[in-house]
Amino acid sequence: MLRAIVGTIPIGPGPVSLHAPDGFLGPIVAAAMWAVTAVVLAYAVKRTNQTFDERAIPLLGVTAAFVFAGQMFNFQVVGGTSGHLLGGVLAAVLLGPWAATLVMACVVAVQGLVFQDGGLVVMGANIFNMGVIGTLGGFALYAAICRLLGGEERGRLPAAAVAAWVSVVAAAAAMALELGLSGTTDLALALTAMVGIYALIGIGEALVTVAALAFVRLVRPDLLRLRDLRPAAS
Amino acid sequence: MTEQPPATGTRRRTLLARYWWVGGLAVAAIVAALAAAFASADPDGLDSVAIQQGFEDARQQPGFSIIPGYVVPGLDGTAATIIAGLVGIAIVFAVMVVVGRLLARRRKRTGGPS
Repeated sequence: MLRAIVGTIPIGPGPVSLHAPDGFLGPIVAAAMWAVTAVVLAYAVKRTNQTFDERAIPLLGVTAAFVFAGQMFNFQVVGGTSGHLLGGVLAAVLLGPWAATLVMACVVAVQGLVFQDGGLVVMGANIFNMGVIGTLGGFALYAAICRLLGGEERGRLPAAAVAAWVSVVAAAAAMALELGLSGTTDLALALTAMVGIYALIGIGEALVTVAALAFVRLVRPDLLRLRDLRPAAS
Repeated sequence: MTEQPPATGTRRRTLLARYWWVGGLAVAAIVAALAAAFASADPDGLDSVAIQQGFEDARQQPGFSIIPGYVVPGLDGTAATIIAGLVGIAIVFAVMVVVGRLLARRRKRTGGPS
């Protein structure tokens, strides 16, 4: 009985945010997003296999744990609406875009499979929106801004802040586009509403991302170099 | 909280360097506990829009439930969510360590950094 109520009304920490439940997207859109995500994940596995250094394995696990915990923490934005961390840019800055993509897919999959947060049919879309956009798109933006600012050491925090905010707004826009294409709601209305709310939630994403990176730099700056470890051979 | 100087306490430093991830997991656990205690119960972004634009009804319930809504069945209150959070943290950590071990190949440590 209680379980039934909890299931129907999103209450407590970690209700849905960008975690679309099944039913929000049409079958064609859901299938197309699964196809795109599957290709990206397959490539991410390949790239991680080529470049990931075993010394970064603990960081891989801890980043996944932190992203999972961060996504549980819904913070208040405006009147009756909350938001939470996505973590894609943070994961990519720590681990590189490809390993970070696997981390985000793992978190979204566990949320859907174990915690009924996000549907299984729409999981491809959820992994793409909350993961791939931040880890690939967000990281590309991060790297570009770092170059503009004269290197990663100097550019890390401002670049991460901008990339984090943009990735959240882009994720919201992608979600709105998927909702509109599915005919669930009007595309223009969904875009305006989603981008409007997530422009605010994105500020929280930027703050948490910067705080986490500053903390890591303060206590264990060596962890920030694990990403670029390479085997001597390659 | 800063690192030990490299010259002294080598054994302790090695342990810290090796098992730092325990501290990392502790930070994640604290975040989950704080989330359980203080997180906003308001519908968040997408759900808020769904209610506002009237497509919340399109939501289909999953055909199964394990720890729905981050509340461990049979428990209530903050504890149910803290435990749910710890379970989630343990699962994603374990999965990614296994994935890492499968994908990362052993490297020859010939003059690499650190």
